[in-house]
Amino acid sequence: MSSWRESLNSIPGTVAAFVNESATTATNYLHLRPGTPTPTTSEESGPQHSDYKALPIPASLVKEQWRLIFTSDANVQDLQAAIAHCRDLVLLSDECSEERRWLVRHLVDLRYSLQELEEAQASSDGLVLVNAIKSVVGHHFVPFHVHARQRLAKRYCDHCTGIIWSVVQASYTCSDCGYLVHQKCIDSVVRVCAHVLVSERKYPIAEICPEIGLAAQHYKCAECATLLNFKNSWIEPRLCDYSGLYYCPSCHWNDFSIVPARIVHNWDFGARRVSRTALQEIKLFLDMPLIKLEDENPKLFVFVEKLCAVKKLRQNLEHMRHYLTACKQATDEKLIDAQLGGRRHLVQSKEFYALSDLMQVDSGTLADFLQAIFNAFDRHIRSCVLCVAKAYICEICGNNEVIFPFDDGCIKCDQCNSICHRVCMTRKNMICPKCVRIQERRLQVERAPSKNEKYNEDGDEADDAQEA
Amino acid sequence: MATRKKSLLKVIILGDSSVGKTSLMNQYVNKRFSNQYKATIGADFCTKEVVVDDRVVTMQIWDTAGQERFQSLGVAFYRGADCCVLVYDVTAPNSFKNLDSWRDEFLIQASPRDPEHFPFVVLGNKVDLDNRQVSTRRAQQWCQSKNDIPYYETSAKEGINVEMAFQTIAKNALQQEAEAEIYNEFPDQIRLNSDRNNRPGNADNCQC
Repeated sequence: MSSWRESLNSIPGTVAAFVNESATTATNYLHLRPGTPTPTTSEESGPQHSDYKALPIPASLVKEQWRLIFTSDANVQDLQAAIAHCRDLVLLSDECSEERRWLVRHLVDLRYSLQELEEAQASSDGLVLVNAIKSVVGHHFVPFHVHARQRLAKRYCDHCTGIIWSVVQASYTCSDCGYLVHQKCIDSVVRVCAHVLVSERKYPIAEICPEIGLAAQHYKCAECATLLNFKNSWIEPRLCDYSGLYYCPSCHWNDFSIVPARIVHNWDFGARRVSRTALQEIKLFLDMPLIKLEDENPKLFVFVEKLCAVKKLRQNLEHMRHYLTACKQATDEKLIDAQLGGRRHLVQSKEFYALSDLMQVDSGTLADFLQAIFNAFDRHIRSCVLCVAKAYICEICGNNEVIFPFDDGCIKCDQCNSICHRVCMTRKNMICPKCVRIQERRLQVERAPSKNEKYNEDGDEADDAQEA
Repeated sequence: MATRKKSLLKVIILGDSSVGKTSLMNQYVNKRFSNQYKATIGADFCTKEVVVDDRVVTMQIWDTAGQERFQSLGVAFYRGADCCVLVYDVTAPNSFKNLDSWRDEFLIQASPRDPEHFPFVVLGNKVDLDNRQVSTRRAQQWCQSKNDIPYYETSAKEGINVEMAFQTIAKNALQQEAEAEIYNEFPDQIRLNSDRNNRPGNADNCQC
């Protein structure tokens, strides 16, 4: 663990080395660890797949000084110098290169810790910063504290797979992805933080177990590049059902997890064996509303009844949201937040689903959850003066009964957004009267093109025609 | 005559976006004006007590969204309006041209008992600005052609004519109500020997 003081001393040399190496970094890296960065058969196609698998850290940054570790003993001046230096390096790096990405990531980390340090100093002078975050390959490690209740549970190091004896061994956990590691292993962590992967990938792997085979992986573990030959029965190749890659037993613990692609394509919630990195990644994807299920698998809504019910509810809730966001009282009461908590996406749009939503659709809890929200919103809208004022009145039958877009038996015109009774609309052969009016008006305007003086007469004629 | 006195007047302000509907209402109700533009979402109302012909009435002024994207909600509040205020911007000819469609749309949605004589008031706002585009003559001509709608030129910013315009609005609204009462004489009575076909209110209400 090198402090920033040491690393700063060696900066001039590093810059030179870095500049020299930067041109050849990518190829160097591919030669060093061919299996890891790109699980493709040809190394040339590496870059375009680099977001698909673990992000390689450029060799220049992997050097001891660039392990991207900094500790609490750095003071403000050190951090500021480091930030300035890192910024220079960013400018030196190739555009859109992996080095630049990592450097920028590092820069963000540095600035963040500077901010924290300054805040800590501002709030109480002389207080030692307790939460020193160590940043390694995208992880943000914080000291791991065992809760009293879980004291007896065994914990294993994600790096060396050995038991962490919490009484005698210090350990760290990544605040982003939950990676747990011995203090002694922290400098040799290989796995890129799942949080970085998630933010780079933006979407869970869409193909079901896209296996490429051991040969394409050069018989090496996709994460730590351990040789997966069949000589040693201890190092069996294990397939990860999520990424379709083979891993060694220390990177693949035969954990079971749902696989997003299988849910989306097959409506299959069965747990499959996945690697450690996949497990952490799926866990992070779980609550992200990313999946446009109707685009990916439109037929599913026909086959799965529960899904259809949820879709209808969400449609109604979206209409209701328009009312609630325009209502002073509901905004004051924070009605939407109170009902939904962190799951605003359920009413924000109707197409995006998170993995956890889909799991709840299957178990039926989501429909109940949404129905309860629907009832609460409905109660407000029908009792609120402002919301009722923004209801509709069917202009075909002209009844005084107010109707809402989320009512059963009402139909919305796609063009002009007006709402009518479904029966009334059917009687009018599904021709929206408001759209007809809009059309007539447009024709009038086209017939009398911007003759300001004549406008009045024209307007009168049209008016008479309409009233007739 | 046992007349049911109504003390709530419902007034709807309509017009294109950014002609100054909200500003007019704010100037009248709160005597305040802000240069900042903030689009109204949906609809909102303010109330003000006014004295008309020695009578105290509460005026409920509905400010509406002019921007089309904020009109995604319904307009059920048009129903039961006592007066409709059409606002245009004297520096924007298009906002004047659109008065026609605002009026038509209002009459259709509100479906008043007597659309021909429903009280409208037209306000040409922003007269404090220099770049005037719609002449007073043209506006008056239009108002005349629509059954002599009262016309005022206002400035919500300077407070010009605002008070007077709203006083007229209140007066006309009350008048409309008085006429309705004559029309709808003794609404609480049940006449056993009355001719059913002559009952008012049936004509525009199809029972479906």
